[in-house]
Amino acid sequence: MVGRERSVETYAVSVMILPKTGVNDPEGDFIGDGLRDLGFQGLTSVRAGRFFRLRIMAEDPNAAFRRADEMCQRLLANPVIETYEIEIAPVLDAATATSLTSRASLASPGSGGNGQ
Amino acid sequence: MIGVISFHGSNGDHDALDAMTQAVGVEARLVDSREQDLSRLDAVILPGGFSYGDHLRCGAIARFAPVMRPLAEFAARGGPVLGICNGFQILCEAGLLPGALRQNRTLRFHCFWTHVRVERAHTVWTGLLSQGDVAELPIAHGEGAYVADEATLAIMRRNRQVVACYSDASGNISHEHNPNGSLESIASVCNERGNVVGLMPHPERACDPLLGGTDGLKFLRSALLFTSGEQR
Repeated sequence: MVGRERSVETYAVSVMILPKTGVNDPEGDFIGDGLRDLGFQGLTSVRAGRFFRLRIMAEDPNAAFRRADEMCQRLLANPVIETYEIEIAPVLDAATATSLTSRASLASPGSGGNGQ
Repeated sequence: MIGVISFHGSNGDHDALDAMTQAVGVEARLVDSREQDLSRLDAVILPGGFSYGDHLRCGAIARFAPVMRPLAEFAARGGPVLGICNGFQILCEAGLLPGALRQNRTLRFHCFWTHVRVERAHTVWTGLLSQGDVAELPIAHGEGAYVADEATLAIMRRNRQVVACYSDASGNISHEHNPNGSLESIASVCNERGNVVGLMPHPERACDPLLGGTDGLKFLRSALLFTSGEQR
């Protein structure tokens, strides 16, 4: 990315919506019961929500974030009962992504994810 | 003239229309969700039933229908607005009523008769009832658990915005007779002024003895008092 001049980038935006603390979440509770029935120990809480993956073209990550935040406020979440978290990552072009992935696989696991 | 809004996917619009024209006996018509002028209507009903397939959240998409802007203006002028079931969900999503409606406690779709106790008779849609009256009305919803945060609930209590609560046939409110896990068994709320009411049970399906009861008539007829200027 260094030295590259671009006015608009595409960002991979992850939006996670969850019921607010204190708002009943029967779906999460039922899933939690199911996991306990399967024998999973130590499970203290399950909250069920909704996940969106968006592609947003914007001048910079802050602009992409602001746009996603407004989308959450106005439609994706209901702020009366839900909270949301937004994660922004640049979408890499195919060549860079391949190069990064091969380098990552040569190095240690757990690096190089770019939201593709 | 009473308007019943048909959103794409609404399935309770004809029930509401028939209840108004046949049981209540007033002129009523369906209002397309793209209409821009509601100023000639005396009252507006947002009917029950899965507008826009309940995609994202119940009522979340209907809120953006073109008719919602003139509806907000109609409500702001004090016009009587009743949201039944999905209509209630839409009014909450649109910010015309406080709170929200979440999945039923049981995660099941509930379709049976319930009782509600009237908590506030002084609204446009409950003027023919008295506080403490018990009405038998059917519910049919998967997302009817009323939720509001404590600050909102405190304001609602102060303004007396809880219109009706689920109860037994004698008017006793208990966990057992709360069909969906609603906060404080709330089945119906109104805006501060009392002209916009959301009601989770279906009064329009309780207007004929053949259908099991007629308690819904009092709710629907109440608006006529208002529109004819006789509200007490």
